Amino acid sequence: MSTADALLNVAGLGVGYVPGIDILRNIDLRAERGKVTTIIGPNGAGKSTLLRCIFGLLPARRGTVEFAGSIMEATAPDRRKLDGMAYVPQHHSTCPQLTIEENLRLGGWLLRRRKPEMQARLDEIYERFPVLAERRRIKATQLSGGQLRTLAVAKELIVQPRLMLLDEPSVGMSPKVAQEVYAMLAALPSQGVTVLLVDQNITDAVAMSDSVYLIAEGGVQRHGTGRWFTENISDVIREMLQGA
Amino acid sequence: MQLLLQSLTLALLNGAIYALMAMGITFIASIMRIINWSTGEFYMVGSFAHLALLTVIFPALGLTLPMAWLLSALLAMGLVFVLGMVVQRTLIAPMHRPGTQAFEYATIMTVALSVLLQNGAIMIAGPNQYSVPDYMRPILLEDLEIVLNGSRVASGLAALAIILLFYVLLYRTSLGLAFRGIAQNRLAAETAGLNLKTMDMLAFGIGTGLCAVAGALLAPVFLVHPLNGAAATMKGFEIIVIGGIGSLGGAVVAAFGLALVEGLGATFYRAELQQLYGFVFLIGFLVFRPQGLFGHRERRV
Repeated sequence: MSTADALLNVAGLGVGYVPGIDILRNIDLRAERGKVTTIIGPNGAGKSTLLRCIFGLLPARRGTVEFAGSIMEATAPDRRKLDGMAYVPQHHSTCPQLTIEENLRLGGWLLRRRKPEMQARLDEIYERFPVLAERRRIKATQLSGGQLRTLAVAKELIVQPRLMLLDEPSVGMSPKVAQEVYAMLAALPSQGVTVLLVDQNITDAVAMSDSVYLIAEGGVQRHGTGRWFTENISDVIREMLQGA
Repeated sequence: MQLLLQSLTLALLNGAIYALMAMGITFIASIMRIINWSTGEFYMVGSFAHLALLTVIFPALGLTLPMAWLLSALLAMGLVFVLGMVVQRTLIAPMHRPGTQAFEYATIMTVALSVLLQNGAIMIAGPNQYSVPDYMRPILLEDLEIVLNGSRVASGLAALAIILLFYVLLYRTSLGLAFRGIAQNRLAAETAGLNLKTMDMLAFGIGTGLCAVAGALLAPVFLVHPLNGAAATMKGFEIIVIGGIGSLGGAVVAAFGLALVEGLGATFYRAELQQLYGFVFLIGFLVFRPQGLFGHRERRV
């Protein structure tokens, strides 16, 4: 895999909230175009912090985030969204009192002045996710956990991002619903979307990944293919538990 | 019967103007999650801008328009909209970082701003009261045998029109959808690609602009002076507590409710206690329904 294949290239990244304490000290990571890359690690390892920093919600103390060949400078999520990055946070990624369609239109903010295109994208989303089409006029608060997650992903997909950052997409879901969510995510690369996933549901996440990073103690502890991690899952989990 | 009709009509007109004030406060509170304690002072600045336009600038320019008061009130709203955005960007935004301790200071800044604007107005205009010409002559409804204050009718109708326009903005435009999204979930709006710094600035401008146009429209009724914002602030906060903080619909209903209670109390009991009726109404709500008409019991997390 050459550097040219990497849509996202993170080098020497250091991030923290409190002065003097780094949550992430030195992260090197790449997300290859059209692939699923997954980050796993013990609780508190800084996985969500890493995604927040990549999307520009947190400033980097050190290192660089390079996206599609350009170094991302300022912490401006709206700029990164415009460049083709999308982020689905772990919680609170939809507006409960807006209808499904309003949530999708909000997600399509960048298309607000291109009405025919907005309508075409909405139609595409409804075709891809019939569960949302049937409920387009109801408020998001009335959706089930799995449907809400689908809405959260669809809300970001409407602008056809190049890179999708997903934080714990199956958290709090029943195994059956989680399987549906993973099936939806696994289909994204075939639609031209590169996926960077953070997950605690290691078995399912690793199984659908092309590349996996294990992070702990502020750095990357292990990096390999999804297949390698799947074959060595017991050792990986033991390593994570010892590191936690 | 005439008295009842007269007080109901006045309550409707006053309610519309109260609603503008309260919507200004609650709109900023929903978007930025801060209470703007300088609301009344933006009301005051709006009334002074209106006074200056109507009595100094328009005559100096030789403008004699049939509804100059309306143009002047709208211009005052526009001026304060710009002033509000400048104030937000320079004084409030540097501290407005949700989730940090500095966030609390943004609210304190609005308190300081209210003192600054009051004293600034005293320095410029002196501690005097000014009046603007009536917008309309008194209106006599012969069949009902009632007389209505023309200025109140005109300003109340203008306020109703502005409320309607504000609703159109919120519920019929993509900008309105963005504001409603931010009010519910800032992160979801940010991931959608909205620039929250710009949206906060716009929201502060719109909120203070609404307060300013209320001050301008009420100028012939309550006079123009540097401290006229204090009563307006009190009224605005009474309304948003009764309506439920963060609820625009609640603010409108509560504004009409408060105006009705004040109007009926003043007409049928004692006029000098008019301010008190509103407080009794407020205390009643705090005891029996502390979340207000349309508020939620829990705080947002």
